[in-house]
Amino acid sequence: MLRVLLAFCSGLALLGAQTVSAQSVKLTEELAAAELTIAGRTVLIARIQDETATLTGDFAKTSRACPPFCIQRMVPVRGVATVGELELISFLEDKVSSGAGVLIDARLPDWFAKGSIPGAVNLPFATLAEENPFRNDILMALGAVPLGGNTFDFTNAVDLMLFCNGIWSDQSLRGLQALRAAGYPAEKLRYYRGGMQDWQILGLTVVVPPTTQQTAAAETVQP
Amino acid sequence: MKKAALTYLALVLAMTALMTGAPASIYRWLSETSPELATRNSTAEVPPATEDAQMATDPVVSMAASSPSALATNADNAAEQIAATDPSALTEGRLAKPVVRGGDAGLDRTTSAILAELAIIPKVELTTEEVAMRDMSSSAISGLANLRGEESTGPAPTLESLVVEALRAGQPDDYIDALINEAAGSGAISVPSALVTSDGRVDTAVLLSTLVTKAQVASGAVEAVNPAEVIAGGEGVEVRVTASAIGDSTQNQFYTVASGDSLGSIAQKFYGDAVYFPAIFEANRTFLSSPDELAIGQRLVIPPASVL
Repeated sequence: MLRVLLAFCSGLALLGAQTVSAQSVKLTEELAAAELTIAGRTVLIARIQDETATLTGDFAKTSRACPPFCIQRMVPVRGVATVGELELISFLEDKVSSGAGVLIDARLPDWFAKGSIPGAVNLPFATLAEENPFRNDILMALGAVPLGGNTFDFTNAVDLMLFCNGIWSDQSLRGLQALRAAGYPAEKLRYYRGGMQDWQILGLTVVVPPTTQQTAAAETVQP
Repeated sequence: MKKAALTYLALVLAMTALMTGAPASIYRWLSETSPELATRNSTAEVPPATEDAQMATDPVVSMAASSPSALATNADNAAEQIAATDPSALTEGRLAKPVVRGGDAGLDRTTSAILAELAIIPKVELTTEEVAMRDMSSSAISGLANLRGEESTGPAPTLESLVVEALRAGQPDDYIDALINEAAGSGAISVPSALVTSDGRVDTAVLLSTLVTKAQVASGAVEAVNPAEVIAGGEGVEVRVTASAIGDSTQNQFYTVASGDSLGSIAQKFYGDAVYFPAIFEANRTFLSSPDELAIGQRLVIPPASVL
């Protein structure tokens, strides 16, 4: 009887501790976490609750060689809006959930595989260059309607928000420039400049994408 | 001599058919069309030799044709798949011209991929960069499809897959032309930019003749054409000889684009092989922003074969 009671008490204590800690590091004063549905799956975006947590590994570095790892401008491409974390979460809620937008991780697959923002699709900047034989297939997958040759009607193309490793990486910039060169309208593009660096500084949720995407996809485009 | 070479090709191809289990119809198609298609400007219908006649004259081909029933089943399946993508079924929203693919290697990659799929040449060795680009692109496209909640319905048709299926099913050239142009016109497939004609169609004649030439070269039946030995003539070809002060003379060639020309067909006309199109494209970049932007009446500079 005593044991049951003890177990019950410790259970209560645990529950209490969790509730308290779940509220100690919120997104904003009003919002503890964001729960969204993307492609039929529930995605939770919250912050690490351990208030002593610090960055370690790759993202703790301060001094990567520049070039190539140079400081990015606030608005690198004319007409493309630069956004922060809250705008990114709103974009997931308003645009990505409804299928009207795509959050794009513009880094190379090895970085994407190590962890990305929930709901992001890996569209490496290099694939958006005109030299990629599959570039036009990608544009069509984004909703661009082919007009023949290299020209497209982007009226019904989805809104895109690009990010990379962040303030010290030019990969989003290169992706944005390639999209603009292909004719993608600037007002359909957004730039999350902070990227994975700022995302992780805030202790926001990072997901390791399922590797099945890679293998299932390998057969889609041939040859 | 020519006959001996062709018989040799037929033998090689039939042996390949036996070893790989590919249906004999492709090889019949190759041997029927090769002499005429090896040179451009002769896309007139080749009267199909009857299968019986073919078998009677070529014991190896007849062996291939009568080998395990699995072969026949494969061909039937391919025919069914082609029927499912019947040209007449794709008619809504025609494009002015096909969606093109970037990269100069496009045409060469396309023909290599088709011949490799038909087991006529070994699997194409892609560079690490090409493999990475293909994998990253396909991964992105399927990631986008997943986001839209689309079930993966298997690989979408490509120019390569449609041509391979049609050849396996033994379809004639005009069927392949209609099939490819319907698919490209609806935006269902993209094509190498060197295959887009001045009328905005896909130049399947150049594609098919390039396939035949490449297959023949791969089998050792013929030697690759030396571009320097090709002498282009006919409508639109213009040669100017300019003598210089020191007595040398330089020859400048020009070509006026006609209806139905593609950069691939022009390269074939002047250099004997469509894969040399980038040389013409580079020489005319001032008014051609992409190889698919040929216009009827345009006058192109044709660089000498020595620049290839």
